[in-house]
Amino acid sequence: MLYFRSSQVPLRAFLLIAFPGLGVVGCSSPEVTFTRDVAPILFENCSDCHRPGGSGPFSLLEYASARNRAGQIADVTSRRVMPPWLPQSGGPDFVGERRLSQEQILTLRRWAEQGAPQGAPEDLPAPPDLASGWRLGEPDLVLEQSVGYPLAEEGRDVFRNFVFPVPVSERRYIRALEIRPGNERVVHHANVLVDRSGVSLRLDEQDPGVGFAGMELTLESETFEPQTHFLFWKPGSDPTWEPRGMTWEVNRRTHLVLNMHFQPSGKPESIRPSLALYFSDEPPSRFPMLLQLENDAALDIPPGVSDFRVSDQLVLPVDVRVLGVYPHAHYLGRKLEASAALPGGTRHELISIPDWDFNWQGVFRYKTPLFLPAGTRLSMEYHYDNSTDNPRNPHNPPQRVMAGNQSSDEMAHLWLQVLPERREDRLLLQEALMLNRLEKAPADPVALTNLGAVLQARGDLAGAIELFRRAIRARPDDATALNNLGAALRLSGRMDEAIENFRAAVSARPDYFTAHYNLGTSLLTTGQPGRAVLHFERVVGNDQEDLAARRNLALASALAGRFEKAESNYKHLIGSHPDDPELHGELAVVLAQRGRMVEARRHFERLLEVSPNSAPGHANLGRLLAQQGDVDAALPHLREAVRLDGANADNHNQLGVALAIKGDIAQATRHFQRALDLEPSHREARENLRRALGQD
Amino acid sequence: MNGSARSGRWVALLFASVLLSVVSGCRPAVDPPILYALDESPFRALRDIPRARVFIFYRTDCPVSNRYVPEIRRLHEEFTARRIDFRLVFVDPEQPASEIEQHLGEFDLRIPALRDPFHDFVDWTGARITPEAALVTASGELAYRGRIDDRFIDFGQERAQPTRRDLREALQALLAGQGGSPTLSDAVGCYISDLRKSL
Repeated sequence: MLYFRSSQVPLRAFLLIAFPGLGVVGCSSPEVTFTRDVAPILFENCSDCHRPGGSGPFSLLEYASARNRAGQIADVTSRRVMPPWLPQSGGPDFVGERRLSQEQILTLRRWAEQGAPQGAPEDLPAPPDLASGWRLGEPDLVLEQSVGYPLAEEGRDVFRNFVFPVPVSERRYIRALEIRPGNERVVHHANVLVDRSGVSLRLDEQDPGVGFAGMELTLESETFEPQTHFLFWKPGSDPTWEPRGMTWEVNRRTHLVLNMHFQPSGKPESIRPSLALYFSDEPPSRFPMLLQLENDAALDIPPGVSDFRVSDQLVLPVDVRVLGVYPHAHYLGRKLEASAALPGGTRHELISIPDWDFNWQGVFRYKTPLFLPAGTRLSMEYHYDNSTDNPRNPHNPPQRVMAGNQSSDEMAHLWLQVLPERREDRLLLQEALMLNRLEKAPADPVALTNLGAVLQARGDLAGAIELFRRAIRARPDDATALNNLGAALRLSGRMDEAIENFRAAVSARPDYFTAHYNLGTSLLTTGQPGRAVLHFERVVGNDQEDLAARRNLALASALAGRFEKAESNYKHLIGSHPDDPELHGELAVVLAQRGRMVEARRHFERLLEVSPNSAPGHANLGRLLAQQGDVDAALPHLREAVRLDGANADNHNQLGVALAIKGDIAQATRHFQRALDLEPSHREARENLRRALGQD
Repeated sequence: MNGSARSGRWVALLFASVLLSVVSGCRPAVDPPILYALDESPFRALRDIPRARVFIFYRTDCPVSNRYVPEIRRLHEEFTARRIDFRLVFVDPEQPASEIEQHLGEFDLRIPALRDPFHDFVDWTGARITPEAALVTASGELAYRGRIDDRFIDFGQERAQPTRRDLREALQALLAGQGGSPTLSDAVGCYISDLRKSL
């Protein structure tokens, strides 16, 4: 729309004429233009967010849009509100650092003061690359939320977790993960955690909405599988390829949990995030680990206190290289610092954030990994302001604040991604971390359980059992600790006690399928296949494709005499694994038990097709043929069984029987004798030998 | 649309206002200021005010303005019933009306929209920021000008809950019959001065 006021036209003309005159007369400041001076600064430092469709609320790529904010740009850059960059200058160099120089800030100020002139079009630099697709190119696999998460038009920050199953049939190695938040305008940051235990699915089911609520979640696993990578997105951050050798594994049991932080926009929004995975053929050869310093137990901040300090320290048991750092506190955090004191007395700053802003939290990766030798003391010191002077204080008037998962609670966490020399060094790091935690909170069941797992991995079963017991004393219904205790007892040969603890674990958490599986295998090996069937059925009911559990279910069913169930499960398994000889053999035995000899014979034959040198295959097929009266057909298989496994007394006995039937008593006698030599207590062989010698 | 005819009408109106301002001599801008509806028809800001009128200065591309929409809507619903008139004042002269209409639809804003292309009304009220409110009495006096509440402290810094709801307090004071000199406060948001006003 054109607004035109004829009365002021002369004034405008006068201004146009007057401007060049001003420059000539005495303004010493040279003209700053958008195209020549300002655009390069904005393109380089702001356009990752402030571009069309970007996370910034407006674009700064076009002249008109930048001009309409010239004064505001000058203001926020001179106060260093923008571009947001938390670490203090003078510390370590981080990848993707966004900090304007004084000269750049002055240029922006002058530009605004001079009326934000456009300048010559030919001065304009090439605009930044605005590829709208995945930044790392065509992904190998894209995971998408099927339903959008509805975000209300207003209110405080929302923290939500979305669970992505990984639909791969076999294990894959990941060399990069890219997060697409789905609605950049309302997503403040996002973070992927790798769940190898299925815990996140349970949390998802318990929450009626899309995804589940919570700012930080604890994942657990039965084996030692630390989180290894920072998989983080914040506005303007680029996804990265993992360094060589640092791929990470996913398989069909892996769930990726996307933890997101939203801020309402003023209108209802829908958010549908997606993840892109880039595969590699290379298994990992270098094994990083995320170390956490924390002291949530010390967080009990009285109202009105303006400088509440919390610290934590950890002495490194092994040499590491520090690759990145992720400090984390909520709205009361004011000053966050972390450093490393080397054994020789040298001190390195790891990060220093003089004015913490929860909204701009992120992962900071070191341009050059920092080598820290064993014996280095890592320290964090966080300062919290719970007074009314802290404008971000979520409580007015201030209230007592303790550690917790809500943004109105607090946290004192510092994550470091470290790369030790050897993979197994991570156990030592884990041990140091857990001992550190126990020093602060001696009855911490998670630390006790984790430390127990470290001892178990090292073969110290007695030590592990003691720690798991302490964890259970601290939290009697801790299903993880109960299951771990069961596993350690089983490894120690204490089966009855193991079964008791596995039972307690599934009773504490009925959908704890790992414990059901462990209970099932324990019952199976102690001669209770009927009970084992019940627990394997739970596991298979949860995951139809759990091969090991279904196999055990089939075997337990067969041993319990429930042949129909055994048959159907073996057939299910053969459907997906048609060339597995053992499955054919076991199914054939089950079919034979059910009197279905023709089918049984077919599966024995199939077994031998796949595995021609299977001694049990030949033995069983020979036995079946002999039982059916076809001794001529049986003989070659029985001979083959003896040839392949001559140390098996049964094989000799069986061959002897067939030879005797055919009238070759001399040969039969030799084999009965051989069976007895191998196994003097072999009753059938002794009986057969006596009969053969009697006939002789 | 007949552009020249419309321009002609404005000229007449504005010419009158310039004269008035010369007479009163106390305010730099025209008095009484004229605003324009989205169809470009003029709207006399200070005329025909029922009990009072709230103007909210607004920019569609200002995230702070946008995030205040639910609160603006609540104030509108609550005080319209008490004979307070509400108007949104769009301050970017270059924005096409169609964009404003689209924004109103997206954010479900059912408050009549006006434009202040010459920033006459911005100057009259002394507003600097979007969103910022001006409360004008039935007699055309400024009763309040400033932030809606103190939720925002600076860019990217906001409280969980406002500790002062300045516009609401001003409205309540006005309805309670408390008069006096206008109250003023500073708002946080986008700078109106960065927008080039129409000449």
